[in-house]
Amino acid sequence: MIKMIAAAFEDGWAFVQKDGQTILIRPPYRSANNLVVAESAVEAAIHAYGFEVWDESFTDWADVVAYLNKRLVEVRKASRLFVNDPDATLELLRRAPKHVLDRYLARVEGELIPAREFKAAANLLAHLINLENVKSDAAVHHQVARLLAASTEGLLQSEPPAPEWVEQDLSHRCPGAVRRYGAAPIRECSERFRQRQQVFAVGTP
Amino acid sequence: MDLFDLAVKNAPSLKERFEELIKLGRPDQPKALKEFALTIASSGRICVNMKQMTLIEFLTFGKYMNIYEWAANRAHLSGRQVTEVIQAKLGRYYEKRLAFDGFFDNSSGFHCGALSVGGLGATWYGDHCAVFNDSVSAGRRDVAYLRSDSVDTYLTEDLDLDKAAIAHDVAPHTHRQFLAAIKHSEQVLAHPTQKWPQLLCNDTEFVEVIFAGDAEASDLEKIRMARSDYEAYFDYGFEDLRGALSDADRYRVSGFVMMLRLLEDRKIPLELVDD
Repeated sequence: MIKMIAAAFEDGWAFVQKDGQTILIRPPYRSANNLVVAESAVEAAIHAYGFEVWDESFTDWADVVAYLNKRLVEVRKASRLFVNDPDATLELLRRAPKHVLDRYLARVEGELIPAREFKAAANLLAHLINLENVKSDAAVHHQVARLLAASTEGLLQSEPPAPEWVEQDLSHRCPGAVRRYGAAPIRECSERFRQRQQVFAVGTP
Repeated sequence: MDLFDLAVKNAPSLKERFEELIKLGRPDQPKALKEFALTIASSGRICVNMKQMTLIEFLTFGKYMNIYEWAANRAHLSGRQVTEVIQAKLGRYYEKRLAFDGFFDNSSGFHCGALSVGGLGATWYGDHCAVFNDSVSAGRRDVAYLRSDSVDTYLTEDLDLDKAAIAHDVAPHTHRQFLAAIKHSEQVLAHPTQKWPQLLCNDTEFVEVIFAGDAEASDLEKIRMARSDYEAYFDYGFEDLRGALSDADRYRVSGFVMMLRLLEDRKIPLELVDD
């Protein structure tokens, strides 16, 4: 049994008690990050560092972490101060220093492409290729372009074969269009779109 | 009890005790102690550890609030009594805190921090170390430095204040280096100079600073955070574009970006510390 005695939910931090020890847990919730602390630390944390007293018990660590993650989202959603910016990640990319860009590219080449995560790779690279911090570095820009081509190629090759068109199904799906144009032009048009496919997400700069 | 007055009165005694240590110290100890004290006198700053949202709130509203100010604000918004808000927040620690604060004049205006010459500070309380510039402490009378966590060190189990101990330790800003050197006289020599920041201020040991009056975001000299945490946010960004990031982590990334923007707006440098 793990007992939560104090928490700062907006940041997902908590003091818990387990087997007679007081432990501070905080993101990213790896066991190596769990710190055994003195009881007096809890009092100081509540008095001066934004924690509040809490009293709730959990059966295991996974429950504690799930609860803290859930509360973080709830509290931040309710906050008048916090803005959950959907473009935060893109801004992060814009701010990425050179060594971070290099790390991203190494991971695309070493992890995503071998794992055939072509869509994720192409998505990331399509964002990267237009960034000033990428464009301004010829070597990085070249590498992004090379990997983007490889990801796009992989994406095209990994597409499943075209489905067999069933006349009846087509008439059922778009009866008005079949009545007006006939089935053949619609099949041809669908095939053309399938081959082009939408590689990048809508709204990509 | 006027804590700040007590600090001023204790200044000569702290200097005497420091000089005594220099006179009687083991070989090499006087040199190291003097250097340690000099480092603190020249670059010792008040720092406060903050978690991401605490820092965002501070940078947004510009004012570092203590529990009484926070509770007054919360009470104003909720229509509850200030005491009720504080009681709910402190829970079973309420009486202890009230007892401690009750010994001092104007304690509702006290802010707490720690003395720092670098490093990440007391990360138990927050992963960002907000460092105030010298103007917050220098030239202000209402700053007092204590040997360690005040409640833990000076409040007895029956909730009485160890007045003799506090009077013996407390230092004004001008003499904080002597208090720190006396406290760490046995360890200074065993630590290379680059480890002094961690010796002075870490998760379990720090020289506590109590100061009254406002501390504002415009008084910030810099924010320190662990390089590994900084890098981790960029890794979160990668995972997000891969479609493998949880909602909670996405909110953390948003918070990180918010913090970077606020620091930029206020022209406050972010210093990355190797941990």
